[in-house]
Amino acid sequence: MIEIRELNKSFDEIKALDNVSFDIKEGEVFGLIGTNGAGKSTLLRILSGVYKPDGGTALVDEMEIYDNVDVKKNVFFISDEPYFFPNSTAIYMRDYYADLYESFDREAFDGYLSAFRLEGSRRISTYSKGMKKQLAMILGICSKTKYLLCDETFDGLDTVMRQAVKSILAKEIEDRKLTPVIASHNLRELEDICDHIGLLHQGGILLSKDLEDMKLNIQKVQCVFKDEADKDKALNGVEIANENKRGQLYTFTLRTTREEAMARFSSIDTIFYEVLPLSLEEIFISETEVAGYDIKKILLG
Amino acid sequence: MTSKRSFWADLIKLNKQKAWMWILCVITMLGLFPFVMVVYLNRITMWFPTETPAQLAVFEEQMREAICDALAFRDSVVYMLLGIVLGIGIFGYLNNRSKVDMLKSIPVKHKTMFLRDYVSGLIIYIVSYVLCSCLAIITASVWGYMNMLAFKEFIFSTFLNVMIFLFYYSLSIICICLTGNMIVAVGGILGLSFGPMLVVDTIDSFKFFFFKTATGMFDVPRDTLFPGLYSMDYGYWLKEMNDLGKEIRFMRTDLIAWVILTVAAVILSYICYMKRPSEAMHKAVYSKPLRTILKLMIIPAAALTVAVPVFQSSADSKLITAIAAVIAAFIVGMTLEGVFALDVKGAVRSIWSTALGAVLTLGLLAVFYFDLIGYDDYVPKASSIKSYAIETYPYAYGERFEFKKTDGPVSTYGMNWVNEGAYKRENMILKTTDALVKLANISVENNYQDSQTENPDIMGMAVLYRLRGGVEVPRMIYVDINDQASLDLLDEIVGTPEFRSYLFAVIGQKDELDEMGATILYSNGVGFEPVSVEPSDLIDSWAEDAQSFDFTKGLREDPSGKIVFKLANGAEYSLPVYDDFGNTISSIRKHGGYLPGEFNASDIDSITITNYHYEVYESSEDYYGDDPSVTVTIDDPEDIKEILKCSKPDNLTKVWKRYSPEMDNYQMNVFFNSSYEYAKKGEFFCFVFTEEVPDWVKALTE
Repeated sequence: MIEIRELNKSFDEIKALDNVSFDIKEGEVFGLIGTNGAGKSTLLRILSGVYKPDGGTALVDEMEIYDNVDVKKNVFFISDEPYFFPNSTAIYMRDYYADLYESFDREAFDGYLSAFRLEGSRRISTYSKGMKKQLAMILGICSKTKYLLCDETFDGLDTVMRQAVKSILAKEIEDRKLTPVIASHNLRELEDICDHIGLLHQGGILLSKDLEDMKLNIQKVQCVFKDEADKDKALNGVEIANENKRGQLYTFTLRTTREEAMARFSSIDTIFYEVLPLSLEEIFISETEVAGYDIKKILLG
Repeated sequence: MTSKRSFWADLIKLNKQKAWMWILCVITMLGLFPFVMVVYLNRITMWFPTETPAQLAVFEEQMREAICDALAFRDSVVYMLLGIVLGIGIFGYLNNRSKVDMLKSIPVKHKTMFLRDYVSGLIIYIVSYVLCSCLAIITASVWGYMNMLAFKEFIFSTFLNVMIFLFYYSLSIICICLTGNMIVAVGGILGLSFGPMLVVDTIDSFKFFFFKTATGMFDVPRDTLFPGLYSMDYGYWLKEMNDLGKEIRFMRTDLIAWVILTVAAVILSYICYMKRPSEAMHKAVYSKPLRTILKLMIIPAAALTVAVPVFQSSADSKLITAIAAVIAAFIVGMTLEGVFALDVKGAVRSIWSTALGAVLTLGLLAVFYFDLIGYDDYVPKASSIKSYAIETYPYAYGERFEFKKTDGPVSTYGMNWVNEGAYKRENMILKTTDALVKLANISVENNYQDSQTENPDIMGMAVLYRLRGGVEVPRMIYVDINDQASLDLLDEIVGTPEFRSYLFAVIGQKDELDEMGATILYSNGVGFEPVSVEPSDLIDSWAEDAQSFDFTKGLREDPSGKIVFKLANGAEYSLPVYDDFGNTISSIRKHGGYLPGEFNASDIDSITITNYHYEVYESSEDYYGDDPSVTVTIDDPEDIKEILKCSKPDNLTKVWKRYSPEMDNYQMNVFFNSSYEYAKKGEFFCFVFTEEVPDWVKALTE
């Protein structure tokens, strides 16, 4: 488990992390979302032992991280620009990491390498940006560490490769309870993979919630009422996060469970109603509005 | 580091990534050792004939010396540059974000990472050094002239070279760790490498501008602060010594300083590495307090450096110099702030510390302007002085000549010369401290330092006080040669056997002269007569007579002749002989021909006297008129007789000859005739006036 308590980090006058506190449970996929400069990379660098925090604590399995080999054995950090030794090949890097991480799985590495059609004996400097990111991800996965910290790792990958990487991650999570922490400035990147989302903004954490919890308590309902009285009856006592009307068609975002929403709308006589799934973006819009922020401004500029 | 992974295996793997450093080091070392060895030996093979046994002996000696030269301490700047390049090459990654992300996140202790990286650079250097120097030794052995002296030189130079490398290697790591930008780091390395030299040179300049008792006499060689760069000087001195024990003794103070500096640099590089936060990259200097400290150090140093040429070119104007220094301080301070911020707009930041730097600069100028540290009044207590050295010709910066005996044939014996100041700093140990302190006090109390430029009777002498704490303080003292009390004190100082042995180096070499088979000649300044006696016997007699030699004698009396010790290859050294040196003169008489110091007018055809009228040049600095010199020829025997009464051959002048504007205006050429057996017809000898120039000579040459 990763425990972050009142974590602070400043670069001269700039506060990159300002009293950040949250937990990352083992086996969950943690999505760290935020704009450029929100503090995502700083947080990951602290969690991987690259940076030392100015204040507060960041514990991995109850241990400090900075210059602690015992912790680092269980953490693999894939930075936004992965580094490979000059003139090295994938095989050379495999051997390098295999020496560093006791559980490194060479067989799996070779398998993934051919699955991703990466030539092991080719110099990495001739790889494309996307291929380098794939290689970094394969190295990270095959190191068999408990925690995999990915900084903007899915950027630069095409859709097919992104799905392939996501499926490998899913498999590893299932097989050995891998805990990936994936930082991205793009909500859509994390939508289909994360269990838990942390939203960083200007060095502080705006919210940290399980995606399922968020999804459970917020519903999107599209409906055409016969008359306005039915509308009042259906919505009486429920918190409306958003309301939109196009012609006769209403679209509501309601803070309630799916069952309750179904019960309310089925109890009245409507021309049409449907409870629809919310996109992560829509959930975030609602959640951050509660906190007094406009997510569109935060994430989408 | 994981258990699976050994430090050395990791190190080998790491070195594979550093191919260019290996190539650079090996090529450099090949050039420094085997190539130089082949060039040296080949040159001697081409130039020196080996047809006769004597030629062969000279050839072999030259070969042995060349091998010594090829393996001895030299080219230290190359090792310094290698240290810097390897330091940057290996630790430069600290300014590469993706590499730091990777290396700082892997399960390896920072300490291990430092050691592994540090050792990898050292291995590149040591392995290429040893391989290439072994190649050079093998080359010398194949040629057949490898010798123990050369091997000892090699061991000693290896120690020095490794130390120089380590110092600059560590220095570059320190600079990389304290900065976050490679250009700034390189600037720091260059600043720390050359900056101290600049600072010392600037302080020296100001010392000589404003302190009248400053002397540079004992400064040579000045390497302590700068292993590497100034150590080039040492190559020259050590090469001349050819004796390891002597070399180590010569360098002992600096060796200790170098070792301390190097160890300190290694430790500091480790501390800086461990303390450096990863986020330091992309900042010029990440530590705010360090930025201020650097600023307050660099501003005065740079501003004063600028002030030196300003002072020289502004007719010594203190005000203009101070204004220029303040302007320079602000420019340097703002430039530094711009560099720290890596942004021109940052130049106006922390203006208060820039102003403080300017104030510091003015404070330092005030120290020099008003001698706030009492530099010119300094005289230590006699009890605090362990010993001292004195140079009575501090402006001459002369070289000291001694006979040099080698292991080779007689024909290769020669003269050994070393810098007088450096030699005395190391070897002249005088103990008459009471007399010296009294003399120095007279100098300070009478402010002779202020009047020495106008008064030709004030004589400057450089003194090196060796204090009991180990500190050495050099100062000029000034002596009025008309002051009897001062002369008495100088007689006490000069009248010691220790002083004489430094003034006349040959006294300490009498046994070597016997061994080298030196021949002896006696000269009255014109003729030479052989003296058939062992050099040591004659030197003993001379040393006995020289007990009466003191400062007054050296100042006032002209020698009547000189003893010349000469080696087969022409190298020679002479000792003055005075009229009252009875033992010496009787020994010379007994073993050969004594030549009287007086010359007969009948032996002389004519004398030409030239009055150069230097006063014309002195009255006007930019005199470009006709040559004012006047030459007359005297051939009247009576006139010649009168001139001979007040003149001497110019090679027999006083030990402490003072410049006399009146007498030194004249030069005489004395043309002997064939009745004088030591001169050929038409041959002339230079004479100088030793007493008042006769009025009629003055009138003739007016």
